[in-house]
Amino acid sequence: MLVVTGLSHHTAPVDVRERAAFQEGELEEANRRLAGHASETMILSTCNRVEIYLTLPDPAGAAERGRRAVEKLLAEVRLLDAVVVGPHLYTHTGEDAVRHLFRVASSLDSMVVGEPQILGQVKDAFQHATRAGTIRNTLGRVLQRAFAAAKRVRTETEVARSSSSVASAAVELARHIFGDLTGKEVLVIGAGKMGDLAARHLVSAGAGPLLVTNRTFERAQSLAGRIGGKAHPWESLPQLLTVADIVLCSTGAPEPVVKREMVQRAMKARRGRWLCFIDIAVPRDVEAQVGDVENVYLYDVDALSSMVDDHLAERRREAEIAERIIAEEVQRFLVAERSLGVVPTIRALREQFSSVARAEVARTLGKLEGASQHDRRVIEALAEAIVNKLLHAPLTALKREGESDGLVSATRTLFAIEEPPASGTILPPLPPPGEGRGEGPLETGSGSGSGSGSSLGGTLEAGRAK
Amino acid sequence: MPPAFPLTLALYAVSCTLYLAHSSTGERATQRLADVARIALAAAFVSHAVDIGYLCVQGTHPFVDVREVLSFLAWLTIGAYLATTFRYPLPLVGALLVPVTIVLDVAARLGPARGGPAHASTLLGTMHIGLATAGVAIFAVAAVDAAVYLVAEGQLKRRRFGPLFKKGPPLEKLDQLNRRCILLGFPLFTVAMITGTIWVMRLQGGGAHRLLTPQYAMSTLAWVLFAGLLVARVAVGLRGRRAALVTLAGFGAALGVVAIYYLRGPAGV
Repeated sequence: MLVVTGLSHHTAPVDVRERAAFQEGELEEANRRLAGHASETMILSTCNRVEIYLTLPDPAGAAERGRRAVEKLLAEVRLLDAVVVGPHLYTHTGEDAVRHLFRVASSLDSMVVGEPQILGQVKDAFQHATRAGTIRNTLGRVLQRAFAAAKRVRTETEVARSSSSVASAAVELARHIFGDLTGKEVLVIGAGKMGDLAARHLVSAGAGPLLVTNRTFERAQSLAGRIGGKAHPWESLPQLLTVADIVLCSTGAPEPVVKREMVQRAMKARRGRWLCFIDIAVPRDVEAQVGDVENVYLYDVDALSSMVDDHLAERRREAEIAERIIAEEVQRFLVAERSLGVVPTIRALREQFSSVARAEVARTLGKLEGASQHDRRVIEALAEAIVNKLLHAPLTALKREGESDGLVSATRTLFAIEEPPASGTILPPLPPPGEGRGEGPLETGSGSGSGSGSSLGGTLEAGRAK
Repeated sequence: MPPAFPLTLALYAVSCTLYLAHSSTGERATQRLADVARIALAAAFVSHAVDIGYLCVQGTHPFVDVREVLSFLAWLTIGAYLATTFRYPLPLVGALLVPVTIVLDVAARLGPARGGPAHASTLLGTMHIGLATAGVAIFAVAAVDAAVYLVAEGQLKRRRFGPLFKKGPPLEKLDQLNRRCILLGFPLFTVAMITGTIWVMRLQGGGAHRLLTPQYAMSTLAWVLFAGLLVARVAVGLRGRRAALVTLAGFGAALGVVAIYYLRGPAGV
């Protein structure tokens, strides 16, 4: 049965996530360490989540066993005590685990919903586990379907197509002015954290080189060192405005530091080249009248926030569509898995009927002393045909219905078929008719940050269970 | 009426509808819409070429009649736009340009016959009309591009981040396309002005007063505006909103010349 145990930005603060995160070089060895506890393993480790996916042959107490294996691994490899990490861990099993993986791969569980990196990170995790030899059919199947679901969400919804932070809104606005940001010079005025973040976003979008200026030159140097820019003295600000294309302002100055006259002079020297100001300082660093200068575009924190708010509302609408896609994909996957779960019962039923037929044919042939070889083959064929005809309707029904409505259990009971061997599906086996589907007292949690509803399997979130 | 005209019109209409749908819907599947619109437009361009070819075989070449010039202008405009889409895939420009060409083509086919200008089939006449039409076609792309620029720029300035904002191409790219169109169209238009002046002088027996016609005045105004725009771009780095406004004014003047010919006929070329 599939089990996922981990912690994420929903349940753990950043210091715990940092300590739990695996280095890339540790992943294969960590997967191998887990292999003793599970049939298959995969570790997904990003800055916002550490999750470990396991398939366990025995569904009994799977959640608790999976959780203990993960706590042990984190203690051994990351030196994280179970007391520290335990309250932040969540566990999903069976259908919930499938849904969780599909949502994670589709970026619906991400801190920034729709961010594109997570799918690549899940694929990397899959590669690491494959190289470690800890992934086989079952986990492989569910991961392939997760990738397909993520692709559907990406192509059929707009969930990944709008800015959801002030920094990414700044990038989007700059793109509306300049298109490709490659080679566009970015001037960072002030050495604040927000300016640092927005500059990093612009650089990751291809902008650069970076120029940094600050009243305290040492702080400008420090920021320039961190983000790969060049520090300039504060007095050179008017000259810097003649070369920069995008200006990020985040000083703590009580008065505007960029005035209309300064920008007008700069625009003459720039021969009218477009200039974009992203002013994320409060109070504002750029005079409002600067926005009236031709070919100058000024966005303060209110403008950026309204853009982000619009986009967030849009993302919420798109996320609802994405959730429906995930629900469809999960159901499609479960139907396929359940049909796999029927195979052992079908085999056993056919074998039981065939063995009865063979025994009866042998007894009959024993009584027919003068029967020729041809007669014997005819009687054997007759018996086989009767078995096939008798089984045709029930086998068709079993294949069609899968494990739904307890047909497999009823068949096993009716024909006294023993418990089939573990089929390697991600779902727990169905209980005998009339019994509930819960797995035990530990698995009755109400759900995690993933927002998944529970039906088969269950959810355990230690922090909430307490 | 050429036999492929209904098909041409239908293909233009399909392309126009798809471009407009692309511009008014959300992001989902819109790239595919734009791609299909472009394919439909290319098919319309080919069908339109078949129309023009058919009429040529029948003895009605594109410069024999103001109606044919209009149809040829529509065809060249679409050709110019399709050529730009390889480097500047701007569906919003297509959404505005295709309806204009539909109007031009319908006006050409359904409008009253005006008769051909005298000696239009001379080398000078053919050169003048051909180059002027090609120049105006390229200016038409520049003008629609300028209109899109003004809308996109206005939204960026006013911080309106609506659906059209998302579809708006980058300002720098729009301005670049405008500059390139003017750079290409202006020499054609200039040679057309020179050949036209010589042609008129020869036809009407000389005399500068022969050039004092509304169409010549409009042509000169268009030429001056585009020349001024080019000089200002190089000399003082004029770009953006002002360049877009001058482009629209220049195209308006050039279109005025076509309108005068269409409404008054070729009398007094």
